Amino acid sequence: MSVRETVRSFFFVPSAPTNLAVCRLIFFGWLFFCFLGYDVAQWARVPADTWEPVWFVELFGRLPSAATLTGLGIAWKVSLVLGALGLWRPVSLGVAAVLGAYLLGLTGSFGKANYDIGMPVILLFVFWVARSTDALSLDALIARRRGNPPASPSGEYTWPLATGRVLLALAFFAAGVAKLRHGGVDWITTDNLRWLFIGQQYTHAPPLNWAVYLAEFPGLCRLLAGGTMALELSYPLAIFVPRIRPWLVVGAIGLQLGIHLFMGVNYLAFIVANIVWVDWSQVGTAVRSPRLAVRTAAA
Amino acid sequence: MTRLRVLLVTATIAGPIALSLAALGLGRMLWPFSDYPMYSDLAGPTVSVTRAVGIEPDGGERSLPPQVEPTGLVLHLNVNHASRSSDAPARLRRIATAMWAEYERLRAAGDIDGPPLTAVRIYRDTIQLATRPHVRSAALVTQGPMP
Repeated sequence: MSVRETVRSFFFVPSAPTNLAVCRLIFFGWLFFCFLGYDVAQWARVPADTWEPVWFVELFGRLPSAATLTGLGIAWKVSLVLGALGLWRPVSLGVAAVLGAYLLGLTGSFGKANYDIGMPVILLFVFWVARSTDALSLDALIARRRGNPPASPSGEYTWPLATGRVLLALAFFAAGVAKLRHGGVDWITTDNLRWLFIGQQYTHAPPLNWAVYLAEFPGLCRLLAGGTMALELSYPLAIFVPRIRPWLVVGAIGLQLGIHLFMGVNYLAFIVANIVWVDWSQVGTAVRSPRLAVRTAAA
Repeated sequence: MTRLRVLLVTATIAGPIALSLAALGLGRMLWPFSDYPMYSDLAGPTVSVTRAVGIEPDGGERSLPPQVEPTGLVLHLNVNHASRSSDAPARLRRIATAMWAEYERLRAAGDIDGPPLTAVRIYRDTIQLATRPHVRSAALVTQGPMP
């Protein structure tokens, strides 16, 4: 098979609309709960001298008033709910993507870059363009009532999730490359991670203080540093080698949860992107009929 | 798929992948695409934190409530950035003054309890992690409003 055919098959092999629909439901629902308490108006109270908007935020000119920001925040959260329910896709998912880029962009517009919101912002746009409400949605229900046939398998339901997988692989690979570029092998072989674990207790507020105890074991810290870099650099293999995919994906989720719990850096909005790896049709089969699912997986 | 749809889908696949590769290759953020450099620099046995405190009329210091932004890491990075600007002293003072004004606004509105403040001071604490207990030293960065 030529490279072109392989790429075409990776992005456009026909699949049922259910997988993409489940991902849409989880993704929008998760973002809604993650940002339910996000006080958008806080940015109107921050000293003006710290305002350094990212380019997308800058497109909309100067920062609006607290009342306007509150209104935009409510509109965005409503659009996330409508996105999860799958109602009026072109409008609801469009509003969710554009407002999401703006309101999440604000978090990186006051002197601190926010690396955890980039992936959710990109995926919001991917879900908008994709035919993500063709199943398990109010749009699909309305279409059925109008007598339209249910959506049949198509490449339209494959490319959004395949794109998400490539983007995730590039994100983790980039994190590994950055460590090699800035810290080199010393990132693993020195006490770097040990100092990081201790220092985080002063600069952040981790939910658990276990990193302090881990820091008592320099050898273990180096092992963790090596494991982290190895995981990040090998993550793209998850695309090509199905056998090691679960290990890499679960490992990366564990890494992000660990960073959240032990170092106080919140990657919860990013973590949801990992849903693109799951075969939700098989999960559904397993829930309905566990024996059949085992037979399907074995085949 | 219509021709327009093919173009849109191709752009939605190729655009983000190309920009992710560009951010990775260039080693810099092309928002929202990133090279994910967090914690890639080597950490050492010293860490610094930035904190802001309110000054009461009797000269005593008290912590600011969390409603007064910026706090924590955001304040730390803001001060780093402002310190590098050509008008650093004035800019840092404006940040402290804005925090003081925000505290007084919230107090006047009844959103927070607390005494009136005469100023807000911003400190940079340096903590030595290799000693036990860790040794902390504080340096005044700025104060606002000026008397």
